Amino acid sequence: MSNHNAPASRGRAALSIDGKQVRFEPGMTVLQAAEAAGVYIPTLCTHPALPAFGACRLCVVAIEGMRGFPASCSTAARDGMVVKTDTEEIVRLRRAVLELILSEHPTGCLFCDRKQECEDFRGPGHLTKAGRVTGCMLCPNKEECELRELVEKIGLDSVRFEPLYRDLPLERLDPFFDRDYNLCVLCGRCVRVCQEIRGVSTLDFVNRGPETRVGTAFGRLHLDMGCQFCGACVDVCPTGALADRTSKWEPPAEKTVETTCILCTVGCSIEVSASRDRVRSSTPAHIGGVNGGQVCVLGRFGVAELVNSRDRVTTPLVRKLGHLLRGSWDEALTLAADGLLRFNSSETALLYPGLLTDEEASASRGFARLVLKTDNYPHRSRPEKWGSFNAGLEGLSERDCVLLIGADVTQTHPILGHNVKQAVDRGAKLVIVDTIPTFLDKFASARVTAIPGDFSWAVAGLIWALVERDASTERSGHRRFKDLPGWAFKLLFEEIVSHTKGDKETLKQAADLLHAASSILVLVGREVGAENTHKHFNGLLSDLSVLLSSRTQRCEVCFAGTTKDFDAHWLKVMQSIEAKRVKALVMVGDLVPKLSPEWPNPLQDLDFLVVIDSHNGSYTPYADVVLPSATFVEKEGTFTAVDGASHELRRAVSPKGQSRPECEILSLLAKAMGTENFGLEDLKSVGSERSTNGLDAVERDSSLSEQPLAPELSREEVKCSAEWPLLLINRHNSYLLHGHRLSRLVEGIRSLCMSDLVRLSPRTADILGVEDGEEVDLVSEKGRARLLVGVDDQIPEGILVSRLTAKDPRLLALLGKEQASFLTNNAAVRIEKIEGNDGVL
Amino acid sequence: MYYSIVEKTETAPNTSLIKVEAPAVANKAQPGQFIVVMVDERSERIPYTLSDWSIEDGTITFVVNEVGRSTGKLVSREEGDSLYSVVGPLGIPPKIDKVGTVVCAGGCFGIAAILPLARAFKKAGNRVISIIEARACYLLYLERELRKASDELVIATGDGSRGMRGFAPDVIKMLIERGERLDQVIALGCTFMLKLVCDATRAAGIKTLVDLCPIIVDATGMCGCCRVEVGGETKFACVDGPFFDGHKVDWDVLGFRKAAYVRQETDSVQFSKVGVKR
Repeated sequence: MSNHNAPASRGRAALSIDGKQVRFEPGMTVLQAAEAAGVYIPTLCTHPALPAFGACRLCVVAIEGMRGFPASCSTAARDGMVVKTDTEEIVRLRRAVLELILSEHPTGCLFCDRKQECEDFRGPGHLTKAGRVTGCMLCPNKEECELRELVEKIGLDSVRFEPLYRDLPLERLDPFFDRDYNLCVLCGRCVRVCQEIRGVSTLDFVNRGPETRVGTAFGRLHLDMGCQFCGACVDVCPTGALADRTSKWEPPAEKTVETTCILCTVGCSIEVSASRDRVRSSTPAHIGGVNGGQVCVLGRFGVAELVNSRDRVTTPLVRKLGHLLRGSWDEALTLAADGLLRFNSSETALLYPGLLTDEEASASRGFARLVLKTDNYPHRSRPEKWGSFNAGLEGLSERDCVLLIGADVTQTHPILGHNVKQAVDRGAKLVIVDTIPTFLDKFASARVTAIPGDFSWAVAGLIWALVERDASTERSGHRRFKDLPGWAFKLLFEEIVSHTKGDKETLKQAADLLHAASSILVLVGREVGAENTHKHFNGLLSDLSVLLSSRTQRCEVCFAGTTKDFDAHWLKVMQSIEAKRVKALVMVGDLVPKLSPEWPNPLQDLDFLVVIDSHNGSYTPYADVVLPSATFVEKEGTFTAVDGASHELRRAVSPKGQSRPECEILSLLAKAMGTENFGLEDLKSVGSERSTNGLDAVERDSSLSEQPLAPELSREEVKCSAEWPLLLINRHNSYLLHGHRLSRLVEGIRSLCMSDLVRLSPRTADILGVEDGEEVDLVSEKGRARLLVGVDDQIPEGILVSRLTAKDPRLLALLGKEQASFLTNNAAVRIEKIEGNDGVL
Repeated sequence: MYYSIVEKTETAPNTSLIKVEAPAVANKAQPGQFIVVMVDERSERIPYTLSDWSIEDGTITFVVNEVGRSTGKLVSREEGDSLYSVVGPLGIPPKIDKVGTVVCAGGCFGIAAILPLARAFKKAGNRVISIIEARACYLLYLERELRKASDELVIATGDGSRGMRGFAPDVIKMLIERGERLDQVIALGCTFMLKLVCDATRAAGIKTLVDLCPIIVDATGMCGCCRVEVGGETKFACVDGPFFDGHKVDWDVLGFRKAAYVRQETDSVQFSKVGVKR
């Protein structure tokens, strides 16, 4: 290649684009170099989040010394290259390529002589809410259509070929987004983001040649194909083929506000777009944040529907002559204050949810302590112990080994799951210890199956394998097993292996991976503690932590979001209400199990109930005063995420109706009750507790391990017997907003979160004679609950898996009312067919 | 009485031809009249111009464009399903006299609606020129039937993929330019198309009838939702129309009134489950 034009670069490489000298960083493509220099090269299939693909051929250029016309998106920039982007031949080629692409996209959208006139007549944003999109006035993607932009930039005004309408059926049976593949130009962005970024692979190219299109295997529903409905495909689509159902017909965004999603504890940065003071959609913020441009179904599709929900409480409600009627704020506050003041402080209580902004959490605690002057409120009994996880979630991708013990993070903290997957992509090893299959299994280098209901054996197995490894390879130098504070050494390895479903080799393989790692993160699932005799398990974890720390540079063992203390206090408050010790309650959110026949109204004995809530809940009708609160996109504040990082909440729209932020409501109520000093300073005195969202670091405390010895390890909390032959494992459904089940408030979540299903293996279903979709009764020693059967070939035999919320009355019925579900999660049950039910619904 | 769907075909993208059993309507129908359909008990009342009917079979045919929740609900019904109610025939049919050359212009759902009018005008001894417009060739339908029903069929598409490039008003201009003496124009389609057709015929002073489609609820002159301003007077499209002298229509009022419920319409789509069967 001739290097005559090579510039005298100051240490940086440069190439010439259309005669312009352009510097570039190593690793850049020709296209990136051009973009950085402000030279426009049209593209369609490239996307900043995705690796180069070279499918659309719009970015073709001529490079001196190279044959043909290489695609600039997939050609590495080299020093001294001479690139031409706008020769007559290239322009002609590019136009032909675009014409071919458009011949299979509704051309009526793009070439129309009366477009302007039509837009003027209809007015801005007035779209026809059509099923199929066949023109620009019918296209929800109109404002951001990249094809339209390309046509304008390239200056095309017709296509030489007869346009082809593929006449593919509309796909509208899945939740959240509609698909019209007649608009698809096969750029493959959705396929690549689904496979390469999210690792889900729901979408792929199907068929070949002219029949090629994007779709799922055998054209099945996304729901049945393991789609997580993260919406990444919708966000990268350059056309209107994939459209978010909630926002598609909303007027174009007038403003976008970057804020934090608080529907789980990860703290993803999201961009909320609004028009006419109404939320239209929420999308991942493109840069920064723990989520790095990705978001889960809640952050993508949940926000708008939650905020605009018809279930919102928009005015204060007061009880007058037995009826709950609309009232003014003054009236409601006076009534609430007078009502609460009738009781002495020990007769009052306050319940508030775990997921609140820091300000709200401290205002809630402060209200209980300073205004109600009561101890009846959930709080942590010991100071928040923040683990060394403070490196932040962004640091997760730097780990070279992640060990998940019963932590189905994809379900509990979706973006954390995504980050783990990305770490694996970058070469980290993933070791999973779990009873039931999880989404991340396919990315794991080793998977140890724990026996149902007890993870202790599996952890003991890992410890043994690590020590055995030392003994066989190095003989000395490492800490000896007997130095460990725990007691696992009293067991034989063979015994451990026989108690884990995993064989010796799997444990050894896992130990090898852990041994080789230099930076390990161990995440322990929220429910794991509840699936064990907790004390033993903590001792073992402590052992494991000591062992791993001794051989790696960095190792953290964290619980993924336990709220055990918090929940225990909640239980105490509930017991006080039942014992009639508490007569007046202030409830922020909807925190008491829903009314159902199995669970009589636990709040019926209260004399006075004040509900502060954004949505109508199961207890709103029983309240004496209801004060409407704002949702998280309608207020400002700070939010402490799972890793201890502080995120800012910004206001995107004004509070719906007369609703107000919770802090404001509590301080108004405090004032009405005669407490003047309820400011920020006063709240500080309440204590420095932060919100209860965090990961608990496992304490490396030897006292923990002074626990009962080996024989008790095999003592299972829950024993199956002939009468109760099946083991029910509940993995909490954490899709909650202030205690409201999101599946109730957001249409699509209902079908997604399987909240009414009990899953079992096909063989178990055969033996029991039940079918997929059949309604059955689950019976435990304590009670019964009605659920739908879901046959799933991933579930081990003899196990039932449900995803009920921690305070679901059905779960509480099975576990026993006094045995709150966060203390144990398992129950030995049997399945009873329902009389007179002829099978499938 | 059950109005069962005898036949349903998606003749063009987004455009479904629905044939319903409704003998009482078929018995009295005249070209240009419309019906009001309710899909179920709680459904919106939607007006449709009849595109065909058969007294022998006791069926009526109309064309539905899916443009929102109610129409979405209607097109999700399959053959064999029944509709909650069909009211009609409604509206004053236009006078079908022998006037000379008549242009029947249709776009979108109007393509189907001009078919009975073209037949009737031809039967009355007129020379009928039918114009159909669409954004692109694949959106055209009933081409063969219209060609048979009229003396000449002119096709216009927005992107030029079939016939001449442009829309119905451009065709009318072309016809005038080629020296055709047009005695009457009758146009059916979206409000924007009707307005442009009227603009095209105004200068030449050609009598132009347009089928206005405001929001109609009861269609018997009670509710007043379909108020339109024609020649400075307020008229009810359902009982005074739906055909009016296009040159006298106040298009801005019509456009404004049609957009009265955009917020509610958007909400109803957002919170509905059109197409979601489970």
